[in-house]
Amino acid sequence: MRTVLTIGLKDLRLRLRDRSAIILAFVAPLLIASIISFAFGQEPITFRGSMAIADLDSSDISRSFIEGVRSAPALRDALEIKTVASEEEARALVEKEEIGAAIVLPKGLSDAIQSGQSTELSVIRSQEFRINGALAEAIAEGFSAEVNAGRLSIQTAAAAGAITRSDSPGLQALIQEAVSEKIPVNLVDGAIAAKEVKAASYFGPSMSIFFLLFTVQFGALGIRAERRDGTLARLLASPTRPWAIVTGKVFSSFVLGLASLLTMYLATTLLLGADWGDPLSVFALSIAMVFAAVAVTGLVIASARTYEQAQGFGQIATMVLAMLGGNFIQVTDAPEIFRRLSLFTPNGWAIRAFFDLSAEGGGITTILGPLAAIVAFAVGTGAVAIAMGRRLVTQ
Amino acid sequence: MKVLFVGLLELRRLSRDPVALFFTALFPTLIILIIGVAIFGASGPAGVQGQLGVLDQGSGELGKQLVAQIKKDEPDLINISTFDDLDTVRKSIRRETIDAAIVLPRGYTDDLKAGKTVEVQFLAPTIDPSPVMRALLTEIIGDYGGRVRAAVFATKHGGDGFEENLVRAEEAAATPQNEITISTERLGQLRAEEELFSGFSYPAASNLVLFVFISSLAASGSFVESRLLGIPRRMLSTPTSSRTILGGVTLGRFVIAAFQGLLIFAVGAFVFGVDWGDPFGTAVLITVFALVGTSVGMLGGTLFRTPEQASSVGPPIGIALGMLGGCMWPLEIVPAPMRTAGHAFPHAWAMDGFIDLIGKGESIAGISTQLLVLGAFIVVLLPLGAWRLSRTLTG
Repeated sequence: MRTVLTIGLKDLRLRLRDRSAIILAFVAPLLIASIISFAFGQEPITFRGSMAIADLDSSDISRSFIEGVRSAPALRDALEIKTVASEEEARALVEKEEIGAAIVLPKGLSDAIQSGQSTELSVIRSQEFRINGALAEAIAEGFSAEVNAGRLSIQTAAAAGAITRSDSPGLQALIQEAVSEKIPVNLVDGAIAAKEVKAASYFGPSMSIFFLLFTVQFGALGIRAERRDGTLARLLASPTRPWAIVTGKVFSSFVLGLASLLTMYLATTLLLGADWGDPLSVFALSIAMVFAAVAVTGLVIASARTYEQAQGFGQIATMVLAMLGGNFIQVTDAPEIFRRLSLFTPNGWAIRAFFDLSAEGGGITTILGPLAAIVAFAVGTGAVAIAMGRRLVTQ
Repeated sequence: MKVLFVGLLELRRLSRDPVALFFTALFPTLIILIIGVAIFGASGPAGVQGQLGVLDQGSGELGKQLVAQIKKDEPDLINISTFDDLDTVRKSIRRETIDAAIVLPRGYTDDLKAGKTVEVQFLAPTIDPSPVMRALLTEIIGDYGGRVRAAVFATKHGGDGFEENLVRAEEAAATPQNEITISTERLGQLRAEEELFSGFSYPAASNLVLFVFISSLAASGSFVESRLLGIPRRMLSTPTSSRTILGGVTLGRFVIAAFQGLLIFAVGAFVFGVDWGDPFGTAVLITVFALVGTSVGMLGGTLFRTPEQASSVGPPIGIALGMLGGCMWPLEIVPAPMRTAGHAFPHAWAMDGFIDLIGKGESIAGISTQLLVLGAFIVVLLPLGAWRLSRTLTG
């Protein structure tokens, strides 16, 4: 047992002196998680745009349209409204990209609305400001939808026989009422998680796991390096059992990997405000994932024939696992097969579990399924890896 | 002449190194293939069918009618699947089996008939909130809500029941009389940027930038290795000037980077029909960026102390810069300070160039700014790398 510890600790010391291990285990994942979290961390709609409204009608209705846009709670902070005198002026502003989009209220708008005639609002938008343009369109369409709905109300009421004589005194009041109502169904944004999941809470775990796969390779690679350099033979000449050597290396990989993952957990939580969820579950998942990472990469490295090949295979395996597991390249419209493929990777399960933990809260019960899958991976690949590792050491 | 031979040596070393070949050629191609299949596999090239989950919490007849309306209005763009509980809906959104969901609340029908306003929740992930689907749904709900409003109004003032009036409203809506309509005018470039960002061109361009850079940086490890093996020193013992060796190494690395860029270009163009825009402009941009990668690789070859350092530090740096530069997501969506920070590095400028070429149909004149900035990177980094390299060769 002491031998295992000695070998393991010596290895750890070597790794820590080698800056590449520190970079991969601690610096790189933190750096990248920070970048992602800064890119996505803010509320997606701190949108500030501008809109020009060309009021060619100068009527109560057109003025109340402008007033409505200016005072709408959702738009008040987001849009700067500028009124212009002509359509040409509005177009020029959009062309010069001084304004994001423009709405033209045509001359005769008020008359048309009041007499039930048709008319047309124009929206001028540029290719450059997509969100701004979409917002202008949405505002114009919302307005027209309400007006059209009011007209529909009157038409329907007429068809129902509610309007008997076109000159009855109650008619004006009826029309007024129809026009001033609002469409009674609203599409509102809801929350997709019991708790709000920040970008850092999602990418913290996924980036940690990505770099974990690189970090844990040092142990197994170490065995190959010692084999190549001849120190392994010397080690075996001493009263050291082969299994102690393998276990020692596994130990060093495991410790480094776990340290990396837990450091990321602490760093993203304290510095980026990530919430990974229930700490006990995080810990359990982390341990399982590190074991699985050591096992899978160990298997790959043990199956290579030379040190260089092992290094290369290790990197390739990591990239393939990361791709399939969805760590890294997000393919949101992926066909079913990709989602299924991610279930063949331990990291794919881990990311699902961490996401669920973050989004749903809850404890161990939330992640039991994924945890079992990851442990199964670890045990399955680990057994083979150890067998191959022993052969590597003794031959 | 010797310069060519030295350069060729680099190429031969690459061709003998299967792992390097994998990362240089096979891996980027794989990623593009995977992304391409993911985007095209589900529903064909141009449009992407949105998966919408519907959670009916007991909304009654009107709720069912709304769902039927959605199916009728957008059979091509929206594919509906039904759910029974909120947790499953949320999980499905997290797992990305659906793009978004709507929740029809209990009492929906009764509330609407009573003249109240109801809310339909729209659930979508923060990272990709399905704005197109949201806009479509808003329009459908607006039309539908207008008919309900008309029916409620007619029922209130007429004699018949709600159901009859709803039918009348539908009939009236089917033959719209004198509607307020909206016309949209888009100013600016020929091709809509929406095509760029939702199609396949963006992944192709961003993968080109990402991989050319990462490979060049990781390949600097090969130079470190040759340095450690003493190859350059042995070359110097022959009647070869250090300048020839430098030139040869640079040429070799550049050819590899340019080859990689061209390979990705070809895969994009011929396998996936990417229209890269002006061919001359594209060729120049790829060449210039390959030179940037080469310069960085040269510099890296002098800064890293061991090949392991190069191959372990290279990919994270490449990934981080790729993120900052808009290779993983368009810089449009990140906060302005991050966008500015991203432009401190060459990736962002290269991506800007590609976006202009592909999305706006610019020719080489239009991307001259980006080319100049990239040229500046080369002018600074290449001599620096060459100088340091010559010092390690001769010092």
